[in-house]
Amino acid sequence: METKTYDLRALLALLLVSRLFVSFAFLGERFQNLKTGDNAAAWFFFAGFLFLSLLPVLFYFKKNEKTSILTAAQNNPRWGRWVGLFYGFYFLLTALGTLLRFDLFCDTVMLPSLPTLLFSALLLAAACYGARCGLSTLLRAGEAAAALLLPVIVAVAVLLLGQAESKNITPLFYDGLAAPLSLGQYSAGLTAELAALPVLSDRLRGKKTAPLLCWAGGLSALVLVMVLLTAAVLGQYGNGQPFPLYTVTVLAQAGPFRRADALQSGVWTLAVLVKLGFFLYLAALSFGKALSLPAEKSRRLPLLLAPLLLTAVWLLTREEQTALAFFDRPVFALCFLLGVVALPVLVPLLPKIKERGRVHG
Amino acid sequence: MELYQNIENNETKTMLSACLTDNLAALGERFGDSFDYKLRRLRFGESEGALVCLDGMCSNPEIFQSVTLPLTGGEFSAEAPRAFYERVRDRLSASVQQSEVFTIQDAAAAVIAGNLLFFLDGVARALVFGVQGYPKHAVSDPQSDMQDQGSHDGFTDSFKDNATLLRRRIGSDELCMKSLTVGATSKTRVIVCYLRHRAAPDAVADVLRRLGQIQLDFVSGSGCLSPFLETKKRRLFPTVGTTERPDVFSAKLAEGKIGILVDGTPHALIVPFLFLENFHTLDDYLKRPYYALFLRVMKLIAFTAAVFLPGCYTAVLLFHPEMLPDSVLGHIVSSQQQTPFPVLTECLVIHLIYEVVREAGLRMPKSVGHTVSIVGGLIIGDAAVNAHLISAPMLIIVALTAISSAVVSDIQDPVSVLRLVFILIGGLFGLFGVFLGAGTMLLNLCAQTPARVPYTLPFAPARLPALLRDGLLRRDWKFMQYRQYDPSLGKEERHGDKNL
Repeated sequence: METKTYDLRALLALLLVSRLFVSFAFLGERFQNLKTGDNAAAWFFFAGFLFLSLLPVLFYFKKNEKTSILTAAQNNPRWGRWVGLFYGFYFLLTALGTLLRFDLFCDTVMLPSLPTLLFSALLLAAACYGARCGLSTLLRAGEAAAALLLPVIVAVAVLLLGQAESKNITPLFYDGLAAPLSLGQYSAGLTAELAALPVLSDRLRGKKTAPLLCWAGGLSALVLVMVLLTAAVLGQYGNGQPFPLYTVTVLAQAGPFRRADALQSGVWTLAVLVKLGFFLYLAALSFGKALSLPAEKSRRLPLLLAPLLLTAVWLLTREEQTALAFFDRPVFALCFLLGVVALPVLVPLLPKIKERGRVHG
Repeated sequence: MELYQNIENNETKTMLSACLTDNLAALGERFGDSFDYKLRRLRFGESEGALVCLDGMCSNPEIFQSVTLPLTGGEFSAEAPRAFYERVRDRLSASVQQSEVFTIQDAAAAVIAGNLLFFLDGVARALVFGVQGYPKHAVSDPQSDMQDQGSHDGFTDSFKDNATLLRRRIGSDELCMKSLTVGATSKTRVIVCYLRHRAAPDAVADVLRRLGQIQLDFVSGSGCLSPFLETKKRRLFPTVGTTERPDVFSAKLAEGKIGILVDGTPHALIVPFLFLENFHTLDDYLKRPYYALFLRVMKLIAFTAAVFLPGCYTAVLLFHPEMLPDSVLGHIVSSQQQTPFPVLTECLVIHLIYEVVREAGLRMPKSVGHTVSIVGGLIIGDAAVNAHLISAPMLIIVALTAISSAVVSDIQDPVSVLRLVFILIGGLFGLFGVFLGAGTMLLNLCAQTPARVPYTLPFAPARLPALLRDGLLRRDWKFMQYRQYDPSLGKEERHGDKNL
């Protein structure tokens, strides 16, 4: 049966929304001592690392445009299954990180009076529904979320311009290059969305290079604007905040209406719903491929994974420091290096290397 | 009598006999108990014949002019029954609608359909004359789907009249109307309409297949058929459109959609039906484009208000009062403090009462319908506020919600239920819960694919040409006359004068 294909631009709209949430709910505990100028400069490094990370993905598209990396890896019976399991684990980890981030966000700023685990459970249930509906549903929902989110970001940015002060931005690289470089690297390592591209390679149509470059450029520009505004409005005070981008939206007001942060956070709730549903779908797809499950059973996997995620969130949020420390673990960076940089290069090349070895041997 | 096996639908039928008595006995077994079964025997020289019909289903003047007068007024030579039958069939009868039946079952179906049957002894078949004259509504203004500039014709209960109204509007031989029978007992006639080179052939085949597989016993209206034409099980909004207007119906056919006329109901069905079409009316196309844009945006805002306003109001009051300006907040809080009920309970109860009043207004006889307005407005509204049972701001919210619902009356049903759900969500989880619910609703909308077309087209997947052509914006007719939008290609095709 021919696999249904989707326009890459639709997927990129969803990936944009997904990655923007990471910036919105960014937990900058480790970098809270960074000067505001260096904070903003770090995002130039982020852009650089992002563009570099695109190269392995583009290489994969050049070699295996019509084949998913999961299918291509299955050509090797020894380690092919492990590729699927790894990607499943990576996407599940990303989903866990998203849910945990949202739970902390709810607990800290959104609804401190309500049991946030209940809210997270409801979000997870809705995300499971989205994952079960399939990729076409998630892509359409992603486009709708992007259409809602981008004007909100622009509106908030415009409303905050009047409160921005350039003196709040310290000179660039005030304390050297190391800290901004580290932050840029750390942030790029949170872009698990790039791993979705080789996995969904067989379902994408249209040009690849130009849209991906535009996506990376647009994402970097948007995040840079958000970070610059945060720095210009909040100054060093923003560094001590658990969610600085959220804190700055609290100050946005239009006429007599103020504290529109609830409205904005609601739109971000929509974004996190789409993101969580997407990564649950990807995890189910990867595990299903690795375990050779029929399509109908793969679609039910999110229902099995959801209780695991919720339990993990409950365990991690019993102590706030445990939850915050979770995001500092190197596992995210390792998974990024393997899933976005290494495997998209190795999977197409290894069979050829083996073939060459056999010929020469 | 011989049996006849129809291999296509696995049906066994009984062939008509050459003996008149046997045929009349077979029909008498089926209809003999009914007072409206009429049988008239005739003699044509040595031959004997009979006319059979259901009284009330046929037009007596038509029977007299087209059948009885020619049959009884002619000369009868001593010809063989078969030759006489053929003379009646080919030359004597003045009826335009004429056919033959060869089985008892087909003869019974023809009688039930309001035809007059002619049997002749010695001939194993019967002539069917289309002389229907059953009572039906005249063509009048449609009861729903009110338009400012559209025609005043609405569909009727008769599928033939509806087909005629359609033919008047589509003067092209591309119009195809395929007839089906649905319902084991009701045997309701269903007409599937489409334009030959516009509708997708596989979509037409899919609709015909779905209708053919329906196993219902009785079809009481077009609503009985809608679920069989919808593709997903869990859907909040209808993916099959309905209309009472032939002008709207024909416009949808011209867009490449498939229409279904159902005998016995003026509500025709349209497949596929997209979410955005709930906010389109015929007036959008008959008025200026800027006004069409204004109408559509207003309807979208009305829909949003109808579904989310009460829930958001409850959520803001309970969880996010800081969002409101101080002056507004002061008034609302002072009103709310005088009422005995919590905000959530008050909101739920008043909206439930509104639904009861609305339903009562719908079912009540017209002569006493105004009583509902008096009871609803004066007693429930005014008196309840004066007694401080509900707050005035809450009443304003209900009124705004009610008016907004009336603007999008086509989707009144899901809007009413969703409104109550969002009131609960807003009261329990605040604005974030409302957005989460809205996100789930968005996922449900995005999951629907009526006739394999995304329900949320053209905004998801985003199709900018379609959005600008006839989505929210409606381009001028001068622009659209030389451009045909092809949804399957996702782009416009130009033809004709490219300078326009």
